[in-house]
Amino acid sequence: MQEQLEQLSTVNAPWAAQRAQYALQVAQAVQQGQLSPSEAKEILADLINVDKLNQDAHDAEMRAALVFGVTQLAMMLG
Amino acid sequence: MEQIVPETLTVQYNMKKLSILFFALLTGCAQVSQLTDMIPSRWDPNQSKAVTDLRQSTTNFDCSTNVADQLKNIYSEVQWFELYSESKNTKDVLSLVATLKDTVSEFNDRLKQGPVSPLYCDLKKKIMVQEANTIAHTVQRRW
Repeated sequence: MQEQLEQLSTVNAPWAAQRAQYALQVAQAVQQGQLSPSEAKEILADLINVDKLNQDAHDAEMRAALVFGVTQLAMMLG
Repeated sequence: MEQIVPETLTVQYNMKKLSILFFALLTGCAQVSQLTDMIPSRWDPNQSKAVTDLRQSTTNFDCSTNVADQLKNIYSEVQWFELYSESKNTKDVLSLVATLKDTVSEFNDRLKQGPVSPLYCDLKKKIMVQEANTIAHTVQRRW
C-alpha cells in the first residue's frame, strides 16, 4: 500500500501527488510517535473529505457558470 | 350480474380523471422541487461576509494559544453560515459547509477528551484553511 502511495506521490497529477504525500507524511508521523493512530485515521478521513468538497465545489461553480451563460444567451436572443 | 347505469359510469370516469390529475400534480411538484434544487443560488452579501470571516478565522488559527476558544469561534461562524443558508434555502452552498462543520466538530470532540498532538493541530488547521478557501471560492464566484 505504501508503494502505491509512493508511486502516486510522483505522478503528473498535482492534486493526487499532494494527497499521496500527505498520506505518507501521516503514516511516517505515526511511526515516529508524532501522531496517535486515532489522530492519523481522522486526518486521513479529512483528506478524502477535502477531495469530495473540491469536487462538489467545482460542480457547483460549473453549474453556476452554465446557468449564467445560458441566461445571457437567452436574453441576447430576445 | 349487476347492471351499471350511465350515471355511475360518469362518476367512475370523473374519479379516475381526478386521481390522474392529483398524481400528476404530486409528481409535478416533486419534479419542480428537484429542478429548483439544481439551479445555483445567487451571490449574497451576507454569505460572502460570513465566508470571509471564516477564512480569516481559520487562517489566523494559532495552535500555540487557546485552541478551544478559537475552535468555538470558528464553530459559531460555521453555524451562522449554515443557519442562514438553511433559512435562505441555498442548498448548494449548504452542502459544502457541512464538510467544514464536521472537521471542526471532530477537532472539538477530540479536544474535550484531552490534549492533542502539535502535529494533529497543525494538520487540522491546514485542512480547515483549505476547506474554508474552497467554500469561499464557490460562494464568491456566483452571479
